[in-house]
Amino acid sequence: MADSEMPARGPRIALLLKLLTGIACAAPLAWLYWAWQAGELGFHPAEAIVHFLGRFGLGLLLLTLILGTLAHVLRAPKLLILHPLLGIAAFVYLTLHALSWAGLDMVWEWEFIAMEMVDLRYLQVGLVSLVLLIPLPLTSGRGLSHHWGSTLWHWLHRLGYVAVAAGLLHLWIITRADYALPVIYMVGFAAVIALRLLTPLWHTVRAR
Amino acid sequence: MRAFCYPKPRSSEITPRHLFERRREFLRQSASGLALAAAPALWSASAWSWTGRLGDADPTEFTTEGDKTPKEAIKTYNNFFEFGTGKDDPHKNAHKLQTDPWSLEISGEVEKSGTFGLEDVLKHHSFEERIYRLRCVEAWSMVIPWVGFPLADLLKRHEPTSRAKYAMFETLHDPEQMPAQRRDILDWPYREGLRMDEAMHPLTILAVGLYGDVLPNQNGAPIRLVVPWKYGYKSIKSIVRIHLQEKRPVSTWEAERPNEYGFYAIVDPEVRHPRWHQATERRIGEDGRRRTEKFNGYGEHVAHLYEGMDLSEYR
Ligand code: HEM
Repeated sequence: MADSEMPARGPRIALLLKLLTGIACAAPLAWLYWAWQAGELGFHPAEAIVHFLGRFGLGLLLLTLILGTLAHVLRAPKLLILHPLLGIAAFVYLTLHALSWAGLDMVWEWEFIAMEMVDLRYLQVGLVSLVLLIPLPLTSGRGLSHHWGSTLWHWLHRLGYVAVAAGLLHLWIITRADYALPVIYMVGFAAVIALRLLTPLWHTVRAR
Repeated sequence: MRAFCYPKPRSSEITPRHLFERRREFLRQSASGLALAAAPALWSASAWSWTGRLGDADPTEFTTEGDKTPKEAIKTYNNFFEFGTGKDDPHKNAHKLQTDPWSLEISGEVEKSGTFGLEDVLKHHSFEERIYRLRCVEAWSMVIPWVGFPLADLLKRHEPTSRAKYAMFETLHDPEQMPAQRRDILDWPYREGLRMDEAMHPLTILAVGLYGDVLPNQNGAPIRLVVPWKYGYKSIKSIVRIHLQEKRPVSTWEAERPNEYGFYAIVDPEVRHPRWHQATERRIGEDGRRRTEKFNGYGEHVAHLYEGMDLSEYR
């Protein structure tokens, strides 16, 4: 009885961390909504919203990959408690990113939406990226990874890498003159890939 | 916090004419006051004696019906990469630009070349109000009441030679005043060019004012080009040099990405651009989208310049 009244510290810290991360993920979205309603986004709010959500969404997606990679490299699976949350937040931002383009910038004019999707490569790449992301939040629960067997689950979640690569290409195509942002994101992505590829090697070398 | 609130002001909320007129009076008075104060010092560098004439500019046959874009929008939503690539960067950073004194060099294939103080250039010209549509290659547009004069008038005064086939324009290059020039995001200084017949066309103006007042720095003060049937990047800002030449110049964006930003850059909903769809545009301050017109709606005036040219090839 005493045990259940006095839960171990671990789960409480985990809960707190999840809560803080959730708030941190939701805060920019809340700010954006407030700024939009308050007229703080300048004279072309649709553009400001699309850009903001794209940047944050891709940033969150990269953070998700970085967290997963750190957990793997440091052999610290506890880090993964924040993984589903970050991934879902990224997905929400990027879905809103695409919807805000269609709704606010293209004002739900299906003729214009179709025309742009057909003619512009960067939009097609963005769509591919977003579609690849759909299975991930649907299968993000830890229960599922056990249920499905981790091989299938891991295979599925490699889609995240492809989605980020496509997202980076999408960003690269539409960048005008100043490549600072895509370069920062690409360095992050390259670091994740390098760590993923190098860790197995490192572990085998150490095992000898 | 900005004073402005979404949704945007209607045209009735644009600062009423009589307020501008009072402002004009004030400017005139202060300009003459300045001149008086300066006279004993024999200080002739007061470029601003011409600003008093800005509010007197009359509209011409070349004007646009419909609502003008609010001045606040024209001042805060800009592409001027010398001050940063964000739309609000120019408005935040352009105060570092020193526009007085300013000099303009006219060089190359002209009989009368030289470097002139802005006031010496402007004293030859009476100002007109030109309300023009501006269409950016990024698929947004505005309606802007410029004050200026035809570029042709200035060029004629310097007597182009028979070898003058193109006009090349250059923006100021000074990273102290234009902070984003510290990074090589573009090949500074910004350059643009026009074919001579385009440069001499009556629609092509040099603008020195906006809404009856001096140009805000972020809009290209103190003197800029406006070519309303071409994408905005052709309308080069804060000009320090005009050079007439026989060879076609290469403009800055063209050098950066030749497959995207053509030299002719004529607004054309049919000609594809890989980044932005050119069929429609967002008129800044409006909620919906408009269909883009060929030559930005100035076809009756300029289409003949391009007869026999395939504009999808000569972008
Ligand atoms: C159907 C899906 C998508 C659509 C319609 C879409 C649309 C857009 C549009 C219209 C822009 C602005 C382009 C411009 O500046 O002219 C943009 C920028 C951007 N998009 Fe997307 N996008 C989609 C999916 C994605 C995805 C999945 C990601 C990330 C993985 C992403 C990341 C970005 C980023 C980082 C930017 C740059 C924002 C900035 O410059 O601040 N987009 N997108």
